[in-house]
Amino acid sequence: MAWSLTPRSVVGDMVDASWLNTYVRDNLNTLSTHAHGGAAGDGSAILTSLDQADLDQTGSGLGEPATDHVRFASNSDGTLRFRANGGSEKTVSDTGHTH
Amino acid sequence: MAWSAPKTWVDQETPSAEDFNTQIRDNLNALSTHTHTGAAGDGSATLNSVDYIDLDEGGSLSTPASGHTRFAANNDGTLRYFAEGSTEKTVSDTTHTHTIASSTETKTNTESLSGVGTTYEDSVSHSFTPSDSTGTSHFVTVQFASATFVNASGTGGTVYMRILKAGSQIQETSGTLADPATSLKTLSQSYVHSQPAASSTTWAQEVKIASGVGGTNAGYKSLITRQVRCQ
Repeated sequence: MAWSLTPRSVVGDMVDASWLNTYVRDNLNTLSTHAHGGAAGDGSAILTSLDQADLDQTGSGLGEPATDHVRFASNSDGTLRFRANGGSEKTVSDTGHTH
Repeated sequence: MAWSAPKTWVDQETPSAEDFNTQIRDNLNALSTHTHTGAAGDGSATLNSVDYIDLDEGGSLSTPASGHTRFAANNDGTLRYFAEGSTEKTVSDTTHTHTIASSTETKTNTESLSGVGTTYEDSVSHSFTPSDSTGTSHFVTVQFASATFVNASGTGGTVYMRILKAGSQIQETSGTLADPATSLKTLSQSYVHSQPAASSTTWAQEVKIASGVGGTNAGYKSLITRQVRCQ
């Protein structure tokens, strides 16, 4: 569902069903599934004050992200994983790791 | 506030206060505290084009819900994560360093060397059980041996030394003992055993001389076995 900029309201404008469906229903639906891509209605691409993120642990390997992207997720084995476009999935090491 | 699927408005409809409260107020309230679980009105669980995230620095992490891993920044400037069922861990960076530690299993034997025969004998040995290397901590065992041969008769020749692990020869070295009586020849060698099995093992050194060589007296032989690991 595309995001539509709300038009400037003018006294005397008639708010009809089409207006409500475009600017209320469709925009709410867009916000409902926003993914912070940075586009209007999708949330900022910069999250500036996040306390923490609880990541779903996933069992299968990470798929390849889009060009110029790095995917970051957690694995069901309790590790954090990342995969850059064109690269392979890697596991984040912690400071307690040994060799 | 629960999310309600936005309704489709129809012409000639007279929106009620309940309509606006449910469709606009409540849904905006739901969006105002969304947490990206993927549920309708809570934002996608997949953030597909985020430039960067500035994390608030905080204290220790608490345990996340089942099947989740919590990720955050700590006041000390490190990134932390806490998988449910595990403990809080600190993300390592590429400038991290390690130290080399040795175990308490360090064996040293130094003995006199005399009357060396032409077959391997005169063993120096000791035994210990290497630490388990099947997990994430990998150990190596360094075996070092040396022997000094002394010409007792004035007839020189080839002298030999080998090191053994569990009765099997690992490595052999040799050298020439000069002719003059009292001439000295020292042989030394070392071998690094990578992740040896964690079972009781005999580590040994043996010496011999070629036929006709004048034999030795008052020499010495030494065997050192030490386990080390990177941590």
